[in-house]
Amino acid sequence: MEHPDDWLRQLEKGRISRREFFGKCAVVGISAAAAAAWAERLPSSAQAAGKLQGPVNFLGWGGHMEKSEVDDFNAETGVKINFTGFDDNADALTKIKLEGGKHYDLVAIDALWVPKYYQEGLIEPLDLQSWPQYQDMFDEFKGLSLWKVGNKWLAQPWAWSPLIFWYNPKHITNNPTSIQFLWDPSLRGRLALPKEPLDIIAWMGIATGAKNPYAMTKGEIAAAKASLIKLKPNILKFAVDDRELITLLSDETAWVSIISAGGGLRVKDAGGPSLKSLLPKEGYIGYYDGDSLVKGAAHRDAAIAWLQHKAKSKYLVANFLRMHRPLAFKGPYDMLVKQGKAEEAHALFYDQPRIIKNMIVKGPPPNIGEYVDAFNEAVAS
Amino acid sequence: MRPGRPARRQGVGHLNATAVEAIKTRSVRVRSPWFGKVLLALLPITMLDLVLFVFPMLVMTAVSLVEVREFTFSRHLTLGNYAFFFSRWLYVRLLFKTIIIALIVTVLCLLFSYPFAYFLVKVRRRWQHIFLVMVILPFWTSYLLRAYAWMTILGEHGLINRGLMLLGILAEPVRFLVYNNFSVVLVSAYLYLPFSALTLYTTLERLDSTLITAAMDLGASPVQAFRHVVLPLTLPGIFASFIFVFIPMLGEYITPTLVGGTKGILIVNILASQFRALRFGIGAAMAIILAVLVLVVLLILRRVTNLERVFGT
Repeated sequence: MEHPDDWLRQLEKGRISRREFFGKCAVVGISAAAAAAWAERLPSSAQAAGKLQGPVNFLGWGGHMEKSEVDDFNAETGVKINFTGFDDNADALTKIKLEGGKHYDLVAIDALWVPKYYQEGLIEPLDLQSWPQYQDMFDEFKGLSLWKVGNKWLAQPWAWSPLIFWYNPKHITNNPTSIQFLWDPSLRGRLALPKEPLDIIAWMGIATGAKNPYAMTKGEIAAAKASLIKLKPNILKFAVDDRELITLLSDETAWVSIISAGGGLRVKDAGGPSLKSLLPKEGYIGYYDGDSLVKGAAHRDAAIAWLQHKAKSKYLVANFLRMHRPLAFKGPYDMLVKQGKAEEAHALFYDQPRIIKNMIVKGPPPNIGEYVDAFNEAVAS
Repeated sequence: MRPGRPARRQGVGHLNATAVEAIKTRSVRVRSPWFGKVLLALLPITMLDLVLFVFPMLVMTAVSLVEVREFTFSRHLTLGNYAFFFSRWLYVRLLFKTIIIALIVTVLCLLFSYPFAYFLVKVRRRWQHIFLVMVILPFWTSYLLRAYAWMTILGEHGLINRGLMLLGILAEPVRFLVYNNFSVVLVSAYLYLPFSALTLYTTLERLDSTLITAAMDLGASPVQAFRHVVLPLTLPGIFASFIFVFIPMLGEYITPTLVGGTKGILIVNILASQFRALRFGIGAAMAIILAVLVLVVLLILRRVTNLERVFGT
């Protein structure tokens, strides 16, 4: 068989025309692409042995997997994990709605969004109680009725955290206890908030005394909007992700922000100042999230095997140490204690899962549009 | 006459019938395969255009004209999504603000890139290449990265503030450099400047410099030669540059998101939030309003200048 180099030499010597040369190259290119596509569909050695069909296509947040667990899973089963990130819950919901199980096997979802996925017919309940890791889950998560349908679960719980106000004590010295400190005129242009319109309006709802910040009435939303308009001079920006918030707090451009439990540590790791935390007395928002099986998932069995694999304590510990926020399983906490990291785990609420019962759980309000309008109109005003 | 190009009407009149017949025969004989090849060559771009532009725009228009509740699309036609936008003065005001910001950025790009492009065509070929590479150099890094870089330059603890404090010009860092309309304009102008400069360079490079010499021989001052010869001849380039900066600026999302803060948001930020709120109908209507605005701008430009000249055919 001729080698492509031979074609190049023939072309240079004028034995073949440019058209013939490119024609040959095109044939080789198309054949290679077809072979690669075919090979992709072929089961790997492990799969061929009658095991699992992959790859597992996972739509999620980066904090939901560790490289070591992916590598180990691939080595054990021959199944690859294809990860795709997303911006927010609405973005993920739209993707799953449009592409479904054909393109995605698993999706990471926040607390109250999980029932919404189920109502839309997008996820398949899991028989979590029969899985080995079920016993390792904190009781607070075993009791999450919101995520249960009969004896089955809509998602495997993963991480959780209250959303905390992290502030710089060098500039804010009065040890605030109330959310009202945000409106202090001395904080002009010093707040960096996450770009989450629904949560921002919910926070404003907390500040204005709304009964249920994720299901506010029109009047309550109007009050929340007015409150945000008043707060606007103090807001430096709505940051696109946590990393930006960490940067702004680290270089002291911002003095206050809202980040999950590990915010203070992450700022410190980034070379920033020591921050103080505040869970406002009026109430605080929090989240717990999980991974759900997409209905009609093309690689269902492999996806379930992956969910079971990723909940092993050694991977969860690695995840905790990287992400600095608690997880829904007890095993990793015991391991952390053995490793002498009990203090860090305690500071990050790992041993206090009861907190989830006190949190105002992050989720989609039934009137999403009204929340977004309030946010947009306040920002554009 | 180039093969395949039809005989000009005024040119045919004085030819005898045999000549006309010969031209027609030749024309038909030559044009036919050429025409087929052109059609074939246009097929990929036409298909691409249909699939990636026309079809999505049709879908977007359709979605904007029906009632949509999250993922449920009704068949009932409505202008409600458009009414929603126009009934909110804040959104309309933001659209006007976007137009003004886009205009400012476009004018700034023109003001900086025109003298630069003029300078570029005047220097030696070797230097031209070096300067052109310098213009293109920013494209080697991602757009997002370039916008991010500006945050570290303009920030409170950024390069400018540190530099000025080091020089003793400032005692305290200033905070007006970023997270406002000013930073949106500055960063956008930086990001779009290469488009403007390259467009103007190609126009100025084709300019016949003997025309300037002729004008000056006839007594025109340098300013008059520029005003009456250079400027009119480079108008197509200016309009092309306008198109390449103004239109993408209307849809600019990343720059206001990163460096705009709460003061520097533009209309696309609001548009994107509609999709995040699962309000596809309103989002689609806002996208169509922007598209229509772009179309209007193009039509006005077409009226003001001949677009064929803009692209140099």
